[in-house]
This record gives sequence, structure tokens and C-alpha cells, in this order.
Amino acid sequence: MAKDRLLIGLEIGTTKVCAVVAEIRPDGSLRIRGVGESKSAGIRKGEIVDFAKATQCVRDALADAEEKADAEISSVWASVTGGHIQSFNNRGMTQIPQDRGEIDEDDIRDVENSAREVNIPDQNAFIHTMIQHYFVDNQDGVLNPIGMLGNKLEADFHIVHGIKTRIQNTLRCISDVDVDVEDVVLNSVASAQVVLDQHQKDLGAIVMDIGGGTTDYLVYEGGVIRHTGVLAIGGDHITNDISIGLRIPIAKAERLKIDEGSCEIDSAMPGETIILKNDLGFSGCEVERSVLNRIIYARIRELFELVEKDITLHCEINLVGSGVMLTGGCCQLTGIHEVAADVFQLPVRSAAAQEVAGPTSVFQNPQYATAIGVVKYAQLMDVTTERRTLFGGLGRRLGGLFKAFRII
Amino acid sequence: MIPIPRSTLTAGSDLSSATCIIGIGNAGVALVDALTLAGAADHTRLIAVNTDSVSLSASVSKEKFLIGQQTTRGLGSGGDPELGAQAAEEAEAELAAIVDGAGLVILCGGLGGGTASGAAPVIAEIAGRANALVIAVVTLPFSFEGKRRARQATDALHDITRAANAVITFENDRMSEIAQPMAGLHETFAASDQILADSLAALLRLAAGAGPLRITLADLIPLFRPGSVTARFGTAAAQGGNRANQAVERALKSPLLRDRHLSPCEHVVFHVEASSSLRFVEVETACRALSAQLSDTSQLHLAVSINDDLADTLIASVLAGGSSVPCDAVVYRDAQESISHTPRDDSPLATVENLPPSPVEVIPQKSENRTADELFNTEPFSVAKDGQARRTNKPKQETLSLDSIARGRFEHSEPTIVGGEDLDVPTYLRQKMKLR
Repeated sequence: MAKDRLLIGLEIGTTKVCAVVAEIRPDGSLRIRGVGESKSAGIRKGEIVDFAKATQCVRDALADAEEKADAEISSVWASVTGGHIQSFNNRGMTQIPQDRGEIDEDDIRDVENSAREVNIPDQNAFIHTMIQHYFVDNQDGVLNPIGMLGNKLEADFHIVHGIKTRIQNTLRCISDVDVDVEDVVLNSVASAQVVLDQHQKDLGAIVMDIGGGTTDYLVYEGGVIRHTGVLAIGGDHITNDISIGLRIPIAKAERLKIDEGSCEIDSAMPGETIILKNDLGFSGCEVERSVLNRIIYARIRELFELVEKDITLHCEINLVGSGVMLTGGCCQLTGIHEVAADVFQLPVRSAAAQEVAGPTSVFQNPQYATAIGVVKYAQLMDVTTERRTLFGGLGRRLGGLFKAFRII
Repeated sequence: MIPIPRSTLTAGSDLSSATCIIGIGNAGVALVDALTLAGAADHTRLIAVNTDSVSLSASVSKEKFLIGQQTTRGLGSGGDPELGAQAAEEAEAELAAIVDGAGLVILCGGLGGGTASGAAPVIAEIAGRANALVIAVVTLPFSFEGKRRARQATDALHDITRAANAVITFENDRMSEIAQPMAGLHETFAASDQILADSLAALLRLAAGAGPLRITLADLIPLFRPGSVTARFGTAAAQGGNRANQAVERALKSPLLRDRHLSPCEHVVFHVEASSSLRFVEVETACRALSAQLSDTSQLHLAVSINDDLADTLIASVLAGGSSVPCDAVVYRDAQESISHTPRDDSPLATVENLPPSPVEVIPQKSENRTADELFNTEPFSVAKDGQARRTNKPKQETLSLDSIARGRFEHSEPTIVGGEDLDVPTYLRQKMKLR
């Protein structure tokens, strides 16, 4: 029997480092073999601030994953995030040589390169160049132009770029543990691969992954990625707000957020209090539930408003047919759906990984959505390198990018 | 329009009255217009020179001069440098009268077309004969404008380099480094104009600054002997406790200077400008930071100016010359840093305005509902959180404690600034929401 192919997805998050080991079964479906996890240190707002500590976290998470999955990890796919990451849409164009007339892979590469002939800041590197649509001689909506006849090939791309050294730092963390990085993927792109099915992508959907340090969001319209964004605001900010507003230590605020946190401002009874027990170095106190909820509500509402503002700037929000999918640790907050629905005026759901097999506790937990998404993305890329389909060229291009990183 | 506050152009020095800025060609006239509107004409002579009478009549500059009345009949040079040169030669006597008595002549224009490419070398020569120190500040065309323009620009640059004492260039292709990828055309050009205007303003301040350590024209002239001319120029502003180091570092790390080193330059003029709060140790720190980039043989000329309009800002400018390396110019703006934490909400222009020294302008924010310290905390320069800065800015003790609480655990992390608001500060505080 051929040995199962293993794919490992690694998410270096602000709250936790998480490694998912998955195998591709003969029928092409994914099965999660095990999940390794460690609490993050040295990572703030999705970016490395203490290299040694972060490396240790990656080492712990990978060791944990190896043990749980009973497998040896030699290479991973890694997700990246950070407030420095930016995106835009651009169209590339290339002329097909007269003597040929038939579009081949070189033309696809040319059109992609021409779309990337945009000036990005010198210190930035391209993370993704994702195809939206091809146009052959102005014929709209071509999915795969290879083999078609035409004089002119155009294509719309969604291009994501970020500060090169910051991405390299994430990668160095992994290579320092003697594990290869196959490629990098933007957090939101990874999350979307598991929380959305093809139908939802076609209908149009917004995915918001509200993590500890960052909120990654992405808009699918008509089956293609229309917009991506990263906002360096996350659950840590809520904790920080609570800590400042109620004058309690960060650790207590974090606990309070997880146990009692809610953004329903009307749900608290007048004068209802939560008693915090005294503890070593903490004298204990009573906090008003309505105050707690207001603090959280203000932050969450603002977060949605910022994202909504940015999305409406770049996309037609009416074309988002299937609504908003929330994922990431923060989407477990009580009442968050109502706030989101109020801001976006769209149906809102929390979503965890779909279409994967494995321990239910893993794929139903939105905290793991990104890491599982990385695996799913890796699988997609794996397939497309052999059978170039809708995502044509992406895997190869990213591979090229990554070689550039490996020269570090 | 280029927003240069009047205060950046220091008044009242005898040197500045002997300075004249000549804008040549359409680009040069536009720059002179912008400087005029910003009020620079009060202390410096600004002259617009062009072959195109329409462009001149639209100019707001007080002194206008049409060259080539016979050659081009006021119709412009049509992109032909030969015509531009002929036009200038025809008006030689008048041009000589204009630059007569000027100690420092700054020529600006966009190379690649006809007028600036042709006339600028001629005017530089005329000014040189009048014993003025001639500094040319020119832009080079975009590479997509074609090879012909590029060649005309290179030839013109070569000629100017021979005639002027120093040439500071800005390649339009470098615009990508100061503007965002999808920024509007107007924004992009405005950012490039801003760079040039700031270079000019910094040059004027360098020549005119009043303070304990002065650089006079007499000091500059031997630095930039005609013929052996190359100039590297960088200027940057910084605030906060570590401002001296930051300003030097920014100037040296600027996108234009990054690939090139100062070490081959024999003469380096280093100009530090700050309010009277400037301390000796800051000058020392800045000089040390700069000296690390210089070779053992290069000579450092230090100039220090005191300008009390600057509040907490320290501006460091580096002008280096005297080597056989290709010339280039550098003005560093904090644009890259702002790109990193303001995803597409802020145009780089918002941060380009960092340089203006008044603290109110430094901070592109809604100021009415924020305390002074909150404002201070969210300004684009992340160094501003240092203790020393707070000492000089805090009005009273209470706001200091509010400040340290306001960002909590994010106190020492890179701020998340969107639309000018520091999102690390709790939302309910920023929105003044009542909790109880």
C-alpha cells in the first residue's frame, strides 16, 4: 500500500501556535490525524516580536503534533498575517504571438507577470497573485484559457503583498526548528477554504477570522476572491479594553472575557454584578455586567464597522449572497452575530471547518479553522500543480516566491 | 498644491536674501508656483522661466521671464532641447541681470523635455559666471516616457553637472516608493512635488539657518567645485526621546540612498535643526550615527540651527559631495512606515506632512475630542512614546497616567492606526462612551 501523503498546516497565531497533520485519502478527501498546539509567546498582532520565544512555541506545537498524529514532520505549509499585508486587484494583458495563436502556459505566466508590474513599496514582496477571471479577445469569464485560440489574453488578479522581512521572520522561526516550509498562505485565504463550500463562494460570502491579535477578512464574489484585508485588531484588544475599563489585571480580564464575555448591551439586568474571586496578588472585586458588555460591544461594533467600510470601498456588498461567516476564537463571543448582522445587514453565521474528517472536537472548533484551512489550501495547490485548473499557475508562482524566501 | 508651511523656510537671514530659486520649464514653473503659494517668496527670490507664454501667464510667481521670444515666439520648445538652449542663449543678458548679486542660485526643473533640458545648463553657466553657487534640483523622466526622453534627460544632466556646483536629482520612477500602488495620479505627483519642495526648503534652511554653528556660502563653495560635482542629499524629521538617532537613521535609510553609500564622499555637510530644547548630547549622537557611515578621510562640516517653531521636531539634513560617483538626491519621508499600519485608508500624503514642524500638523487626526497626550501617543512616529518626549509634552501628571493606561498591553507595540485613529486605545475611551 502506498504511504498516505501527509500535509501539515501551521498557524503561528497571537494566542496559540497550531499545527494540523492531515492525510489525503485515496478518494481525495482530507482526514485530520492530529493537532498539535502550544500557547504563543513572543507574538503580537500576528507578528514575531521575540524570535527565540516564538521559535520555541513553534517547536512545541510541532512536537505535540508529531506525538498526537504519530508522524514525523519534515515540511509544513504556513499561514501568515499582520497589519502590514495589503491587497489590490489588477488586470494583466499579453499578446499571443501571431504565429502561434494558441494560448499555452507561457502566456498564462506572461499575463500574470504583467499584472504584477505594479509598483509596490520596495520592501514588500508578493504573497499571492490569485486569478479571478481570464478574458480571451475580450470574451469574458474564461476559466481556463490553455489550448484556446486568441490574439490577446487578459486576466484579472487579486494581488496580496506585505513587508518581506516580516514574512521572512515567520519563516525563519520554522526553519530554525529544521522543518521546511512548502509555501505560505494568507490567513484569510486559508480560513475561507474550510468555512466556505463552492456554492457559497459562487454566491458570494464574507469571511472574517477574528483571532487574538488580528482580524483577517476576505470577500468572495462569483466564485473568486475579490478582496482581502488584515486589521491588527483582535481578541487581545477586547481583553485590554476590559482590563483598562474595569481596572483588573490582564489575566483576569482574559478569563472574564472567555467566561462571561458578551456584546449584548441589553441583556444584563440592572445592577447585575459578576464577582471575581480573590487570588494571589489580586484582592477580588465585583464588576457590573452591563459595563463589561458595553466595553466589549464598543470594540466589536467598531471592528465590524471598520471592516464593512473597507469592504464597501472595494466591493459591491450587495453581491455577497450567502452572508458573513465568522470564525476564529472571538466568534464564540455571545451576541457577536447580532452586532455583525446589524452592521453588515447580511445574514451572519459562525463557521468551523467543513468537509473534513477527524476528531469532531477539532474541526468543529473555530479556533482551528485557519490551520485546517492551510491544509485544505495545500491540498488544492497540490492538485493544481498536477492538474492545472481554476487556480492555474498559482502554485508554481508561489513556489517561485518561496524559493526567493529560502535564500534568506 | 504643495503644503509647505512658511515656518519651514527660515526668514531673516542675509544669505537667504542673496538666494534665488529659478524654475525652468513647465515642471519648474509649477514648483515655483507651489513655493510662492507657500509663502517662500517673502524671503527668497522666486523666478519662473519658460519658453511657453501660456504657462507663464498662468503662473502666480511674481517674477516671470519669457525666454526665446524670437526662437520659439512664446510657443514652447516642443520637447526639443536645442530650442531650449537657443532660447536661453538669446536671453543671456537678461538672465545675467537676474542672477546678478545672488550668492546661491537654485535651479529646478524636469529634465527630458525641451526647455529645462536645454535652458538649465545655459542658465547654470550664466549664474556660475556671476560667481553664484549653483545647485540644480531636477527630476528625471519616468522610464515609460520612452528612450528618447530618457536620453535627452541624461544629456541634459551631464551638461548641468558640468555647469552647476551641485546637482540633486529625483528619478520619477522612484515615485512608487513614496506612493501606494493604487494611489491616484494626483496623489502620486503631489508626493513627488512634495519631495522636491522639501529638498528645496531644506536647502534654503541649510544656507540660511541661524544658530551656534553656521554653514555659510563660503563654506559650501569649496565643497562643490564645478566640474567634479556630485551631490547626495537627504533630510528627515523625527520626534521623541530618540529623535537624533531616528532622524539620521531615516535620512540614511531613505529609499533613494539605500543602495548608495556616503563613504566615497569627501565632504559631508550635516545640518541639525531643532528648537532651543536641542541638547548637546543629541548633536553628538546624531554626528556619531552619521560618522559611522563615512570613510575616515571624509570631512564632516557640522551646522546647527535653532528654530523655535519646530517644537519637539528635530530635522537632520545630509548634503554630501566631492566624489566621482553618480549624483542622486534623497529626501526621506515616513511613507513606508505608514503603509505598514494604515491599510489603504491614509494616502502617503497624510504622512508626507510629517515634516512640518508645528505639532498640530504632525498629527493627522480629529483633535477636538482627544486629550493632548492621546494625540501625542498616536502620532505617526512610533518613537514618540519615549520618556523624554513625554517629559517635554505632558501638561500635568494625570494625563501621563491616562496615557500609560490608555494603550495598556499594547504600550510598546506597533500602533494600529486606521484613518488617523489609534485603535489600540479602547474604543469606549475614543468614542467617549458612557459605561455606567
